[in-house]
Amino acid sequence: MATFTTNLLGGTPKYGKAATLNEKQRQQMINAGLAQINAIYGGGTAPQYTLATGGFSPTTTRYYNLTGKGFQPFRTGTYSPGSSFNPNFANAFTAGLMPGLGGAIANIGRGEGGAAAMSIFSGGVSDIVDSIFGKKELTPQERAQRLYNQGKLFTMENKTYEGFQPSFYKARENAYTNFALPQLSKQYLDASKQVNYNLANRGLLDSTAGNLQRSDLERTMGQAKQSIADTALAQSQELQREIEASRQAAIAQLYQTGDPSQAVQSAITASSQFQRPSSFPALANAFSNIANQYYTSQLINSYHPGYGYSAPSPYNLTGALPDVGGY
Amino acid sequence: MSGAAGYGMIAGAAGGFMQAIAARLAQMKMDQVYQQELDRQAKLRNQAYSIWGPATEYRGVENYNRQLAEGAANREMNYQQIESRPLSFQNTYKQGANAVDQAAYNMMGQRRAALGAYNDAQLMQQINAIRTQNELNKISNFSQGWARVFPLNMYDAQHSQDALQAIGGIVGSLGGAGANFAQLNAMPQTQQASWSPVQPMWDYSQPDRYSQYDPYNTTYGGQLG
Repeated sequence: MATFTTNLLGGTPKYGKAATLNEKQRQQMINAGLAQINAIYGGGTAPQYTLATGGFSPTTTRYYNLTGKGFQPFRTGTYSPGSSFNPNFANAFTAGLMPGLGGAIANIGRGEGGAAAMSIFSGGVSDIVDSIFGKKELTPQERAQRLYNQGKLFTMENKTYEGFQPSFYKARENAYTNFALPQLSKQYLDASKQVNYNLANRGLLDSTAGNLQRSDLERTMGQAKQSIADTALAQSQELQREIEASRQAAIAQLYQTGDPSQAVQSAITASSQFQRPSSFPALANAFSNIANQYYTSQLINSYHPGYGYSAPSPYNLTGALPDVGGY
Repeated sequence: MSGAAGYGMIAGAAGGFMQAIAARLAQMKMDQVYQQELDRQAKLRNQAYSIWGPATEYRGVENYNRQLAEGAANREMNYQQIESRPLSFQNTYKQGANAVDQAAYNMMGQRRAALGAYNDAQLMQQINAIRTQNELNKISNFSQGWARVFPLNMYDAQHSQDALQAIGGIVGSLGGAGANFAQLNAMPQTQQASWSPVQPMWDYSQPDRYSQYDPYNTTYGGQLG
């Protein structure tokens, strides 16, 4: 009777109430999605809610539905993992013995086929009757079944993520350093040999000039090492920027779609892309200036000997040294 | 004044009163919904302000200097680490930095780190700005969501007393019907309702009236009746 009077006389619009609930659910979904995005990027544990699929099984699966207070466990009243009781047994029994009738009973029980088949005529009438006298109360399991069919039930899994910690970015730095430093070492070794051979060739191995040139080599080596450290840090920081941009993109997608599971999947995909090894060009020769310097000086010296250079006698034709200059 | 007129007047007044009450209640409900929306938006505004405040303080020079120092220290540590890493070659003649070269390396590293630290601080500031923006975007998003709901809540409030309004209308119309009935009863009867049968064309009990219409008074010998 109360439903009757409410529906006929006391019926006020419920658009605002419905929209308010919908907005609360949307915000709770965004909060859940943000919690998961933050856990993925910053590390931590967050529940992941996935739309329930694969068959309605209230005895083995705990379902969650989205309410104005967030995702809440849906109490079907039959969830008891490990229990030997299976309410689907009756359906399985009838479906197995009498496939046609069993299937029909199962459909009616689920409120799918049976209701659909009978609603051609009685649906319109029942809607009118329901609107006046109210609908019959559903059991929790029937409500769960209906929500499941409507795609409103979720399953939950707590997931723990490592996140992009400082150690991750430090590893990125080390990756570049490990890549570049051996190349620099080889370049240094080659340049060092050239310098020493050239100095030895000119008899300056143990001289002040030789020490100065070796000092130049060492300082160039120091600059090259610091450049490698800076490049490694710059690449790490660029990665940090990209990851932050990816996080922002995932959040924007969360707002746009209102579907955290889709946005979170995008976040996971994006984060896995950042962890792929990149290809780097070979390290440029850090000692090219020194090598050129000594190569050029060697050529110049061969034509213009410096101070202290004793020119060979033009009459000495044994020719151990080139017969140029000294005139 | 008859009884019907009195009842009609009372019913009409009651119906009007109920409609006035309904309108007033609906208005109060609308006021309440509006106040709720203001409170909700104010709460979000306060949340946004409390996020904006510390984030803006983070951009100040005090924090910037601290970030510069941290960045420089981090870079110097990097330089020391890479300097101490063994190289993959065998020693050749007089290889390796002497004390002067090492001092030059350290000095160059300090200056280089101090310069590069601006990049580090800038990155921290950039990330802070992005995260602050994300938090503000969330609040803005929620605020927009509530703003979308608000007109519907106002509509509900506006129509929250429709039932009372309808009942008042019904009661008022009953009053109008009573008044009409009373008005009908109170009207003076100026004429009697009469009914006359159709006159037969011929009445054989009367003299022949046909002659009355004999303009020539012919041979029938009729007399004027």
